[in-house]
Amino acid sequence: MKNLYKLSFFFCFLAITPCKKSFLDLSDPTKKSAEKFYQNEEQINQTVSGAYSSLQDHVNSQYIFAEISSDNTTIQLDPSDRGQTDRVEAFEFWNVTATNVNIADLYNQPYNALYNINYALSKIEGVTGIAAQKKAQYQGELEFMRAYYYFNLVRYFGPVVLVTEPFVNASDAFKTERSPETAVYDQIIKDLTDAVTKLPKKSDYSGADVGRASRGSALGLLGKVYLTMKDYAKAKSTLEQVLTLGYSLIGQYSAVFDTNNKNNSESLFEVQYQGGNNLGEWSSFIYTFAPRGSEGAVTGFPTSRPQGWNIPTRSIIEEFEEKDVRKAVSLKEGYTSSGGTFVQIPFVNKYNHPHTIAGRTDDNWPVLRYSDVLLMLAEINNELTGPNDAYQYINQVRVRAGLVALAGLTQETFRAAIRHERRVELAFENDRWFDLKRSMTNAQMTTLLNAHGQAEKAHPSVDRSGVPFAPSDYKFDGYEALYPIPDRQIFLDRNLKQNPGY
Amino acid sequence: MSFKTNLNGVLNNNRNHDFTPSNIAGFNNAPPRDASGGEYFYNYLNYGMDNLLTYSPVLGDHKLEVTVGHIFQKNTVNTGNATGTKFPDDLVDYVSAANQRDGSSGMAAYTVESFLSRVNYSYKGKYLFTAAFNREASSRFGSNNRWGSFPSASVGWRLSQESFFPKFNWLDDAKLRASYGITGNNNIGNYTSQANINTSNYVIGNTVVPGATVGSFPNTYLGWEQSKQIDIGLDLSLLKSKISFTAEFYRKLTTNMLLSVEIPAVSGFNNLITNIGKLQNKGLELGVNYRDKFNEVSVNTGFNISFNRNKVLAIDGDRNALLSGAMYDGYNISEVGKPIGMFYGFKVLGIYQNQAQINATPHNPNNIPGTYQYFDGNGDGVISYDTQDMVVIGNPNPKFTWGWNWNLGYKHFDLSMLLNGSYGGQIYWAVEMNLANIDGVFNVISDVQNRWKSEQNPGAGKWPGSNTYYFTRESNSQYVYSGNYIWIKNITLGYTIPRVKNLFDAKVFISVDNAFLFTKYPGNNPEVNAARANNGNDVISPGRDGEAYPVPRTISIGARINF
Repeated sequence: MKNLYKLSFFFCFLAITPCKKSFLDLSDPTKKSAEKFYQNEEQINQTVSGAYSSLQDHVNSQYIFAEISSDNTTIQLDPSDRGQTDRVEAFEFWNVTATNVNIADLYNQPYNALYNINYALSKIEGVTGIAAQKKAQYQGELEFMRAYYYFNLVRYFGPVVLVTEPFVNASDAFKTERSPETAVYDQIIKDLTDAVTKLPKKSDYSGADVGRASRGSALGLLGKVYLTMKDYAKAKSTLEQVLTLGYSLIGQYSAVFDTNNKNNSESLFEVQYQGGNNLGEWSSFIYTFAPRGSEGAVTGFPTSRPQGWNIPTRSIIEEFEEKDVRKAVSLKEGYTSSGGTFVQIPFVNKYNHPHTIAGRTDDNWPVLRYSDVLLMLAEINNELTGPNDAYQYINQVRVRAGLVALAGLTQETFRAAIRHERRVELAFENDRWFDLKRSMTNAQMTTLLNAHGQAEKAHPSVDRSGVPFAPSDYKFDGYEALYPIPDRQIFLDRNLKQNPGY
Repeated sequence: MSFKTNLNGVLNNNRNHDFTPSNIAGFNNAPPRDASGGEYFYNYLNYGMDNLLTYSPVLGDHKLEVTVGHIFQKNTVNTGNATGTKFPDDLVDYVSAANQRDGSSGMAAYTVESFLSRVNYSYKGKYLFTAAFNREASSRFGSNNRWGSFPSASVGWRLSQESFFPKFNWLDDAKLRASYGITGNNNIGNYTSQANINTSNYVIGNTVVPGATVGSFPNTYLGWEQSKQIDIGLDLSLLKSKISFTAEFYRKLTTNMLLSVEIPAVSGFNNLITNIGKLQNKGLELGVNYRDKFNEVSVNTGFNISFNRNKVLAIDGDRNALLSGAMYDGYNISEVGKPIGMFYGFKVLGIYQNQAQINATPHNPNNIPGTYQYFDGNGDGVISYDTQDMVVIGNPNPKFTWGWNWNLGYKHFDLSMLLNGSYGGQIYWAVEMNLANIDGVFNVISDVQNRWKSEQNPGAGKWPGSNTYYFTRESNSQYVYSGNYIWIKNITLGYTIPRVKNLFDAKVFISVDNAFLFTKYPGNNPEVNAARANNGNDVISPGRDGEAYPVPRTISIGARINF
């Protein structure tokens, strides 16, 4: 070997080029190298924005897992596309299996986002030239997002693999195990507690920073985490801090979702989109939710081909009280076709706003709203001391909706009232599945969903064009409250154990 | 002693200029239309240098040659384009005249460097010996693992020249040869080991702001795929070279295979190009050629046959199988101790005729009469609607393949024929899953009219009923077919017109390509397996036929005239 290198020295004399150490050290000149990124504040800022950007991917499909699977929404069955049977439709009929491609997306996407979050967090400490306060803000934002992803993962899958540092060697990813739920929740609480101290108040963000996670976002999410864990005392003290941050309900329920009123005083956190241009950041929820065949009748653009997913069920339509102003904002019971006839297929209307370019809407996605905080406080106080301390919160929400204030309920009937109020106030905001899981026992949830399924089977909310039900359709067995780990992941890592029942 | 420096370079400059004027119609689009045009640049530069020092002393009957050297090579591709639309008219066809202009540019490069040494020795042409040792590096690999060592050696022994070798008048020449060597493969894309930053923008402050995410998992340990190969061969020449015969046995052990494989999602990504596994290929290749002439009839025919057996010896420490594919597209599985890329899916046992049959066998709640009865692979008494009950359902690796060519001449006529074939391999006809899809409104193959309709009218027993989506089309043994075939690939009949008055001679011929195919395989091309590339995912996902454009039978008639 030694002689070989002596020899190489001789040849170097003849062939100058390869003697430079960099001769073999090439990197793609058309791309930024990840190894050389994360050097200054601008680059850290970009990685934080990149992490936010992946929240769009996340919330774009959550309706499948948190609404269609619940009693809130159903599907407009497409008889010519039976390939959806083991995709989105499986969530409506509780036929989800470990091979379902949507389950793979639900599981894979957060871990891709978490890789970026963990990578940025591992680098940020060493970056110089960032003001301490600003560095803390970036860390807080990343921790908030990490907590949000794990909160969703643990609620969908139960115990999950906990990754808080990027893997250096891919082979290490084959030896992971699912951490118990308590460990996952510990990490979520640790991140959010830290984020609360690091993030500025929403009111302290200047105009150019509107839309970033703030202290209120972290407190609101932390309160929801404690509530989910049934730690009512901590949930109460956490959410009461939100009350002092200047949030308020806005007068008109419809204005909450208005695209001219984004990030309003009721918004603790929402995922941002922008329509009306070709910059690629638009949303298109109404094109997913409007009935198939409605073409331009709902979206306003006759060339559009809406997909008819997330269709409101008869059950939620009936849930709205008679004078509830939220019903007309949240859903429509049908549309008038271009031919002038009324087609009775309901659709989610919350994200339906005028936009200038077909397929590119300006609607943000609400993640945490002040009315959610009020309803959580109502639920917590009812659990701690009964309805008397809870009315003040629930009634703010009811009065805004044009309804009479509640009074004279027992703790048990108040529970039902809260469940009802959350269902209509937060309709189609991806809360229902989690609300059912949190506020009911598994047996109660099983009873409720099977009753809903029987009703849908007997009289579907949307006509099925004669396609027969499969024997397993609408049969909810308790274990289905947790989704399966994608089978490919178990195939790759034998330490991962599947959820029971799958 | 000699020293040789070899500087080499290939420079290739391409430039395209195009313009589509407004008065030319497009597909389904009558003129006038928006004129468009562009400029495209492509520069390819490959340069390198070899420095070789050779020592070859004269030693009587011994011949010796020792070479040491150093080689480097750099390959660079530069691309660029500018395109324009919305030209005001057709008068100027350069992009500068366009009202809307777009463009991009790029560059990619790789380098290799190696130190080599080689010894060649022969004695009286009877004994031949070569040994070499190379160290080679490629820029494509991770910074921690760029260099590979590649030794090799070969010996040759011309038996027939030995004094003890009996002299037969039917044997002209006999040679035994053997070689051993390690070769490397760096046939992956440039920069594969590195992670790059992707653009992933977001909206903050109601303004679109730049965002950055990591695009892939960095792999600084990515290194050479290495194959250790032993070859033993025998060459015979018989009956005044009328018959030649070669036999070759090989055993090839490939380690650290470069494959794009799935990795656990918790890593942040789903795929990684990495070094994985250990694969053994063993094989025997036999070839015989016969050439003779009887008066005006000449015969030349050659036949070869190859037997190959492969076996996965290891995947890596972390897993014992590689799976690729999807529930509705077919799966391949590569397991340790078995051949690579076996078909994987449900094993079809029949079609359920009635509920009593379903109840009496392991089943799924969604089995109804008219659905497939599947084998309970994990033996838990139920059929799961996922991969749990799947088993190996076929082997895409043929037992042998062969080729045979014929050349017959008679007076001015000549007839040639080329045949080949494959035996013992199977093909997963993936497209059947779509072509037999009856759960919606689709065009289907006509066989589907013999589907199951009721217990009284069960059809051909092959096609399930149409009342459900479940257990009718999953990856299963229904789609596995024998890939045996015999294919007459070419027949050519020619006639040579002798020289006419010193003016010209000519040959006329009629030729048929892909003339006759003998196979029971229902797809168009049983050779899909042959398309298995040396690299890429085909290695672990062979033999799934999604159908390509059918192979045409071409008949050509021609004449060649020489003046």
